[in-house]
Amino acid sequence: MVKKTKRSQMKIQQTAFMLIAMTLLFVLAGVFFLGFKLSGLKKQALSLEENNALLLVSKLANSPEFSCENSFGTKRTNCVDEDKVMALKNNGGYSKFWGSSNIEIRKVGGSERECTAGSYPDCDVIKVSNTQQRGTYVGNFVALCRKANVKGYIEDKCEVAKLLVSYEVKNG
Amino acid sequence: MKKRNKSGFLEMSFSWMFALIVGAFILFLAIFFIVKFVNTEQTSSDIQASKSLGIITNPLETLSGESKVISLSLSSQTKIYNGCEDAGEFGEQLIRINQQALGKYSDSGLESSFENKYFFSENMIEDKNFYLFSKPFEFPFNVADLVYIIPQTKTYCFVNPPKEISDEINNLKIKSIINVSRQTDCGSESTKVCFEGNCEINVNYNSGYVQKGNDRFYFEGLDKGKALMYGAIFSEKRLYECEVQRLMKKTKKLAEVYESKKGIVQLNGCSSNVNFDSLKSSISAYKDSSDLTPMFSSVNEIKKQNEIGVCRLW
Repeated sequence: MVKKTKRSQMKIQQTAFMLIAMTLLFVLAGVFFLGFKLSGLKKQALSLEENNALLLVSKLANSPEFSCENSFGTKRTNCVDEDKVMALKNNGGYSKFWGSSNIEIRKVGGSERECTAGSYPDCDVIKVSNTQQRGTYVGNFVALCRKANVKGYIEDKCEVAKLLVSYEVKNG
Repeated sequence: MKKRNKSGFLEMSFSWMFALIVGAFILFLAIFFIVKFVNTEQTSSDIQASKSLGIITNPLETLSGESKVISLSLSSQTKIYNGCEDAGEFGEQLIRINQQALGKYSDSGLESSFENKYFFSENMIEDKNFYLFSKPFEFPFNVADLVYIIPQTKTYCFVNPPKEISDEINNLKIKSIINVSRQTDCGSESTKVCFEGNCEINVNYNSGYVQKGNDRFYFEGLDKGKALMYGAIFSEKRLYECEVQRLMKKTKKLAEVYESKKGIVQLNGCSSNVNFDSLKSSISAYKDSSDLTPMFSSVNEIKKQNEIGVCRLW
């Protein structure tokens, strides 16, 4: 009788160990699968951010906040009004408007001198929105135009610049 | 012998019962996690679609001053919920998408928000394919591009529209909007939009309002306020008023930017006589779209001041 009870106890233990092992196997498989799906989700989010930045940079130069409109004669595409962008930078309130981390304009072949109310127009980098976050930049070439006073005459001065939009790469 | 059989039966029965209970528990957990996982996948797919909707409308806003149209095809039958929030600096465009899977719509309540988008449509539209077309709103400077979302299976029948509108619609080649000269030429399923006569949506183009039942939607702006007129035709009252409120907020913000630009160009000896005070104060007092018409005199005044100045601000 004692022998029999011991044998049945052994059987129950065997079944229990088997079930625990199976549960652990399923849990491990589940964790592996979730990790795999999560990394896919992160890739999708990054791809969406990248697409957004690429399409944003191509339309930003023609948006009401950046475009030259009719300030320099006729309507031009991919023309950024430098005076307006400086006014926009000083105005604030646009930090989250385009849903992008950083937006800046760099004159091609220019220095690293940042444009502020004091240094403008003798500067080459305009940081329109700067969240101090690191990110990957995508860019588009534009004509950067402003009104310049040359020996008492008002002239339209246009330079080649690169409009840059960054998107955040989240790690972890 | 009898006793042995009994004990054997009991032994088998207990181990089987134990295995069955734990097995059922494991099965329950597996089914629970699969259901949870499928729901999460559907929510993720819905959010991805609503974010994508915001992103794919970027090219619609590329060339200012022009109407543009794109066709949006989704993988399955989809419900698009268009919402609007007017609180904050620019307010927010809210979009929620529920896609159909296995004949059932997902029930995710998560919305994507955009500060720089202005979508006009019914509060909920349902289809697999949609037309998205855009028009710039100028008041008097370019403020934003308005995007209208129309399901491709729905038809809007424009009865006797003015030539400029029928030409525009014909150029856009949107199959969901047809121009006819008599109401009887419209299909029975179509939504009739009358520019003369009386039907479910009536447009008084010269007086600047759209009448839908008891709701009156006022529209105004350069180009006879056509951008807002389309918005009034395609959307419901609360959404329309909220989007116009957001547009007014952006107009005020842009007026401040142009005012600041005026100061910058004046330092270079380039003068401008544009005075934004009246526009800014009337926007501060703005309540609903019925305030647009009285406001338009100062909009026209600012437009003239900009055109005659030495340096144009826009």
